[in-house]
Amino acid sequence: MSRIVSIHSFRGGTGKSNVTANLTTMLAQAGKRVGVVDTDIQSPGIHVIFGLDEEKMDLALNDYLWGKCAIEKAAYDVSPATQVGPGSVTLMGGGVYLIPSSIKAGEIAKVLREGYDVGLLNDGFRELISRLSLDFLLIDTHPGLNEETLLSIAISDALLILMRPDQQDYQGTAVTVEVGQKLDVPWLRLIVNKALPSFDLGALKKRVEETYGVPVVAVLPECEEMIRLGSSSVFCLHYPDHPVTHSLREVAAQLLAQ
Amino acid sequence: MNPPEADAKQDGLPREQGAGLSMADVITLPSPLRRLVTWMMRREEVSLAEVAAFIQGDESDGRAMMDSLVAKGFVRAVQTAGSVRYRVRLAPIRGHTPMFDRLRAVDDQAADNKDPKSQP
Repeated sequence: MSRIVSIHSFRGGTGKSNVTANLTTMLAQAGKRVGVVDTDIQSPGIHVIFGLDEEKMDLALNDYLWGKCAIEKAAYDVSPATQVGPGSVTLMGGGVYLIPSSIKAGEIAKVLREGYDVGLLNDGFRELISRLSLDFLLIDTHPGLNEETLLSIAISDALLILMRPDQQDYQGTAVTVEVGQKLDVPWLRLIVNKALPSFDLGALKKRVEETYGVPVVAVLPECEEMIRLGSSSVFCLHYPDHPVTHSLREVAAQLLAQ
Repeated sequence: MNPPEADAKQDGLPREQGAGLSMADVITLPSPLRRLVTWMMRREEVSLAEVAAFIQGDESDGRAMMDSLVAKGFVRAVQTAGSVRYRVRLAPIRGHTPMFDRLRAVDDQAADNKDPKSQP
């Protein structure tokens, strides 16, 4: 049975796309066929992590939403991007299919100006799962709350909410948790990202869980290696033994166990 | 026939007819309806028997609820092979605008239900 997983945060810069790319890669390494949709139409970016050249991006999610193509035509097999670095594993039956949003300024402006049919987005997710025989569909959302984000949350089997240990993130995360609960997401978990390594990560996890009443599946420390990589590739492929990779593997294992 | 305001108080649904449901509408629906709509969205299409089972009623209860939602333009009835299936009809996005006015209702409800969350 296929599962839809949304990765969301109330504020930008929490590391959603990097976490999404790593979880996607780990699920594919476990032999799953994984689709990734970049619904961050206003500020797309996950295609960079998977090394998808903008020049080769003939079709994007925008084209599907404007009725120019079937959604699977905007899907790119980026599995080769998971075959680099010491953490690469031959994908035995697994694969990664990315549906990027357009990076062209005019097309971003058009969506913002004219909008689109949200129902099409919902249909598109299901068509993707069916036509690409996906085991998982991960949705990399736009931060904050807008129509497509709420739709993604509403139809998700699992919702991962990212937050930083930052005063600006705390209140927004409470709103997002509230919305996830209102929309009856069956499996809702928090990831705390970019925690200072000097923090007591265990104590931070406990405090966050007590505050929101939601389990924290990972507390990821800020690390120089991630900053150095600069979204140029998928972190776990280059640092397979890093504590961040280990923590994300536990999240992937929980998704697989659902 | 009830005036629109009185009607809204009866079922908690937004009044605009035929435009479909926005997601902001969905999260501000009364709990039972919100659960029903969210459940339907996760299934793409549902049969009357499935609706009846979900609301723990019989098919006539389910039909009455679906008829009401279809009449308001929030659900579409689809004829397939002699049976009717239902799917949520979502309103198109007409350009991106801040949703904070709509979401304020959620905040207000949350404030009514519990104390503000403290910071960790």
